Amino acid sequence: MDINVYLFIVIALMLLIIMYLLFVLRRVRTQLALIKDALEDIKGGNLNRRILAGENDMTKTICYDINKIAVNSQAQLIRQRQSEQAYKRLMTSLSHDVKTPLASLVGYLEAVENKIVIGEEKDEYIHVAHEKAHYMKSFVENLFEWVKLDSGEQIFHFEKFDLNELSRNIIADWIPVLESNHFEYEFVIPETEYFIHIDVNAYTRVLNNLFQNIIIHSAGDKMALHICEDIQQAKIIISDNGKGIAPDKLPHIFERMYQCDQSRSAKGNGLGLAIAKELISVHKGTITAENSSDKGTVFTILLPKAL
Amino acid sequence: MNKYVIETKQLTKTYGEQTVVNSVNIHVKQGQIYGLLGRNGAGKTTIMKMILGLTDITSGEVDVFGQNIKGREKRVYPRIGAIIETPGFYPNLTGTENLEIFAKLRGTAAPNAVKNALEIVGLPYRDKKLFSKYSLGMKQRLGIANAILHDPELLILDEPTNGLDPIGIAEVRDFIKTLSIERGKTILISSHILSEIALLADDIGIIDHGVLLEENSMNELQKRNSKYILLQVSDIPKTSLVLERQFGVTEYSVQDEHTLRIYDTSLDMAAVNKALVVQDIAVISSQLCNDTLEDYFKKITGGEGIA
Repeated sequence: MDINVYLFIVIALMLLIIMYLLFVLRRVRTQLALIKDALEDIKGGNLNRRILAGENDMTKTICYDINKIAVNSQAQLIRQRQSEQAYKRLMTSLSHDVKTPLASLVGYLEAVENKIVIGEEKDEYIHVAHEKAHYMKSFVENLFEWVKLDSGEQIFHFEKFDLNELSRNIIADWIPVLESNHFEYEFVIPETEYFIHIDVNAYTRVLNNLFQNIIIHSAGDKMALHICEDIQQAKIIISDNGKGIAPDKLPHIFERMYQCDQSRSAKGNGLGLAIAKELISVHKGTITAENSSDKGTVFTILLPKAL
Repeated sequence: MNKYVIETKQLTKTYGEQTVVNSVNIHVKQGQIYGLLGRNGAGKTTIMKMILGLTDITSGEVDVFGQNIKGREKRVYPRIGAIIETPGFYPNLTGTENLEIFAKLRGTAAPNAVKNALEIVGLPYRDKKLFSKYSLGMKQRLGIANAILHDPELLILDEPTNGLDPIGIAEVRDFIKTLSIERGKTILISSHILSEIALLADDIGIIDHGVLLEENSMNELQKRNSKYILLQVSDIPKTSLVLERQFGVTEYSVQDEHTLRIYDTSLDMAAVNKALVVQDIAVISSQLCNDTLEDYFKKITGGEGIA
């Protein structure tokens, strides 16, 4: 009697265990089928495919790892595609940006060459042609610099420099330019020394681009540069009293080839700010722009003291 | 490369006598944002519901991921994330708790799925706030978080910015765009607001009274949306000289050897043509392109317009 009961219990237990195992086996089987399916898809190039796993699934870590691989290679692919597209865009706008000034340059020179204009008018034509040639020169230079930066070919030399002294030197070159463009200016730079790891050429370039930007685009007549520093970082604020930047345009001004005027008018080349941003980010810093509360635009650069 | 993630063939839905969706063929390409544009009641939601199997198809077919969806629902739906109308969340649980329930039901593609999804839409993880206390904007965000919880390949979003304030709309638009650009998701989105679709979609389908009036890429449509004068002439340099010297035009660009675009559409073209002819420049054609997208939609919807 007793033995029979025991036997019955044991058999019932074993049956239960077998049923449970069968159940688990089935579950794992369907999961394996799902994984196989998804792997086939991923192998075929669909890096978007994910395998879903429940919390207690035996295959959970495998599924997550496969997903991780797909996510990573997809991210890489997307980055690559993005830079290809950007490059294509660059080439198209490049061809337009060179074609237009080139055409008008040829127009001016032809008029001189064919003696359509004489005397004072001729001199003026030559002057305009000269300006246009200069514009194109700086455009092409900018463009090459940008491409170099973008492809990571630019090599930087970081050295310990006094940011305040360096800034004063750069500004000194701009004072005559500001005066000839009828700009009032104000510079507030601490008298103390502030040593920072910096690439002198890159920093100079950033300030140059911002100054140029103000002179060409702001349509104001006052500008200011303030530097304030603490233990961690230096803050460089460059502001003008010009027309400001339309709020919907503001988020895009650091994108390359973005100019606020829908059509590309002769001045500026839509690269200056993009280059500035890239150079600042090499220094692990940030550059932002906002419209000041009363009038004009404020550019703020943050540079960390230690790289 | 551009295979269709969703393709409908003669998709039709009738309620009794009334046909709400009439032989619609839409083609959603991989990795693109497809915008379904139409006024309220045009049939957008019904199309999405048929794709998702939430309502019966009267006639026609739906292919998702390259295969007919019929009989494969269980395999296909886990690969889609959707918001159709308000999703059913438990009002007396927090957002995080709600998502954890869905994560358990559906399975996840990576550890920390709930946290990541909330991060993407900008909601706090493990916040104490109950769903019933959520603002409309937060509810919409949670809906989107739920749709992306299992990292699906395809998102179907029915009016995801409905009821949001302008800042909320811009934010939602931004992360939808990010999902597409940085994560390669395919997205089908519907809206009755033209400007919103224009900012977001790569391809667009215009639905009116259940009929797909036009399907086209946004680029193609934008081309029709610009204001400029297209001028074809025999000599570009000479023409640019005339434009600059005699008419003071600076906003133009050279398209190719014989074509110019002038962005100042108020220019007196009769005078320009005359001046060009005087200079011995042949004007092959001059054409004013002055269409806005809004006008265009009015035209194709039969004068009623959208928005």
